[in-house]
Amino acid sequence: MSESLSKEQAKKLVDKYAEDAIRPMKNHKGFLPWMGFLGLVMVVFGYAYYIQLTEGLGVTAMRDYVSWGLYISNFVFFVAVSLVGMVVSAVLGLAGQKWVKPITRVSEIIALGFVMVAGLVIITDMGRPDRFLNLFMYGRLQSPIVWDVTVITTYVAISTLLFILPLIPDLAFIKKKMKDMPVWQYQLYNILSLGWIGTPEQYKILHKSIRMLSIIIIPVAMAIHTVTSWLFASTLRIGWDTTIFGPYFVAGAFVAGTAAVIIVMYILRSNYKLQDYFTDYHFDMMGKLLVLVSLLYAYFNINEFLVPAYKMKTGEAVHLHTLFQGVYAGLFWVVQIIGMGLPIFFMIFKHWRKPNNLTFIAVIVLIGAFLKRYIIVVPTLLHPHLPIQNVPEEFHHYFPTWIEMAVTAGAFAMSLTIITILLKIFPVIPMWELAEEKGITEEFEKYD
Amino acid sequence: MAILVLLMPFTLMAQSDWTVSDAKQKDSNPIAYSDKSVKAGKVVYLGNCKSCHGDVGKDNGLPLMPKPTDFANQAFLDANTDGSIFHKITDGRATMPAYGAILSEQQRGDVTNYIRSFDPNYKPQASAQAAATPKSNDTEVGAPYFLDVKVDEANSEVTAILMGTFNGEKAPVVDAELFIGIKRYFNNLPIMEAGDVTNEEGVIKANYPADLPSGEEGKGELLVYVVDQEKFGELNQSAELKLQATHPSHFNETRALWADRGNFPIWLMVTYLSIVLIVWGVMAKVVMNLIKIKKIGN
Repeated sequence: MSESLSKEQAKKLVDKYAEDAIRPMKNHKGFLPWMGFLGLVMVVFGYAYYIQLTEGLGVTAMRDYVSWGLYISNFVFFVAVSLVGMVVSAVLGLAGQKWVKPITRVSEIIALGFVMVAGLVIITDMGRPDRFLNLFMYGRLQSPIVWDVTVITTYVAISTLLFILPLIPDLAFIKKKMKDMPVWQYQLYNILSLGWIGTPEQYKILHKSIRMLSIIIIPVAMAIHTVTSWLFASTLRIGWDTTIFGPYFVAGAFVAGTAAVIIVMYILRSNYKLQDYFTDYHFDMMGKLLVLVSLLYAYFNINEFLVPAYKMKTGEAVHLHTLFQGVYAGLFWVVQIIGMGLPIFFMIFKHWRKPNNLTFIAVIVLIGAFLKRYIIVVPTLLHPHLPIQNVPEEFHHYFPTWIEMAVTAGAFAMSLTIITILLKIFPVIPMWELAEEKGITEEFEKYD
Repeated sequence: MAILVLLMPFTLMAQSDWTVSDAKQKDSNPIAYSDKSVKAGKVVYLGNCKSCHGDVGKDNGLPLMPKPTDFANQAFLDANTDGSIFHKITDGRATMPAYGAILSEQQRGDVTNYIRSFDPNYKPQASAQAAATPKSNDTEVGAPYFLDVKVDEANSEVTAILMGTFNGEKAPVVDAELFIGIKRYFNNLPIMEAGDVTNEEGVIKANYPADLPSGEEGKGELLVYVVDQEKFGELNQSAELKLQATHPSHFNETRALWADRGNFPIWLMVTYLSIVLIVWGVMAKVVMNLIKIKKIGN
């Protein structure tokens, strides 16, 4: 293809890539206020968590019955969002969808930001976090918790590799190109670019390695959310005791992750002027992807609720009535209709897959996805098999305290901090991949 | 939420509003007030009421809704006649069980009298002279206290003796509540009769089940302590008991999903390890590739 582009055109294109990739890393407008805001949220988090550590979990609204509350639904949400790295860079990449190229790095960054914090979120649910190590020392292999810890650690490792590997040629490039950077940044690029000189042999090994990771990350990503669902589904509790929980969670994760990527794409596009990479076409395609995964999720939802609702076994009936027309009905229908049904309907129309409109929908879908986790976790705990009786009033309900909300906000702030810093340090445009697609790898490597 | 907050005063009121019918209020306690009845009532109270109502005067009842009354509460004692207390015990309401079917009339009457014994304004209808402090003996026998335990292995019987000091000499403490039990992992296994208190000789006897399974050595630890620590201080004794020796059953050694961590199913370990090894193996291979890339660069 390189014949189709003249030497001059190719140089211009690489010039453009370099400029567009480096601009976001240099443009610090709004960076400090944003980090300041995140820092402030984390200070509040620190204070709230300090209270929780010193006074115990009694400061949360969790009691004997609802012993999993906001924290566990956070955990499920964070794991869910992190799954998108696998969908975009592995599934679509391997399927030969060329349009995802510019989006792969964004989605890997989101995956890293969320999965790293997911591990921390689960610790916030522990009254005695110092006993976390006991899980490794005395954990039972038979317990899904041990599987979950294993698979999350593995996913963090693979995601990190899948993030770092495609960066190598770009970092070697930036190392040469970006002159005025701090020493630590140069050193970082120097180490991570592994003495990349862009020989065909290096390219061959790199491609092979990325391919290996892309294949292996698919079952691991499926496993991470399936095992998370087993934490629920391997119990006998009403509402959790269902065989489709694994795919139900995985489908839900696709929805949450795709929405998150759309939002970050939009922010990068408008803040860093990256319209040439995150084009209307990309939004359109991501919109179609979101419709597809939402329809899949809707399908599982219908199974998850219609089948037990048809039978209305005594215990299930109590639970379903609370969801359909009881205390949780408002939240449930908002999540199902506004968070899932209406977005699917609107996104079918091209008009609603335009960047502004699609981002608006993605925000709603993401909020819906968060609330959905809450609906999965809490109502079931309020419906144990034996009636709740002779206990203080407060045991009958659950609504998170400010401490739980502050800790939740802190977890989000941590994720966003990781994402922001990664976006600041590393080029968000995969330059070499785009160059490769245009057939100008040579020009990219010879560029000076 | 707002509705709940609005409703709460009503539930609280509902509790203080618990009144029995006029006729029943006018009833008198079928069991006449006497030292003996109060003492018997205490035993019944400890065995049946304490678990919810707590120690009288310490306000340590269970945190239920509505809250179980502490019977040292003067407002309660003033508002309820003997007949009212007796009928409340008999009929129950909401979380308060109806004891009419559980305790005899004698027992219910005794408990009523025991509750009444905390009322300094109370003039018993029948025998006013008996209203004098029921624990006259206790007030005279004072510290230091001594707790002693004897085990009769032949009859599987434990004898606990609580002595105090009276005029410089040892004297039995009467009517004290002792815990007698066998040590377990979490909470101890009580073996005394619920509500038992020391007799005139300061003694409580209890039988223990000698066939209690207790590990390979067949040894158990007997624990005896005085319940009222405020009065007697921390007073406890222990002794070794010979119990049934048990051998670990092979049931526990089965490899299964529910077994302990050492007895994981082999298939699970094989599956787990092979998945972990394959995935981390691929990652290791990728890292080796990175080293190769680095070598080419050099």
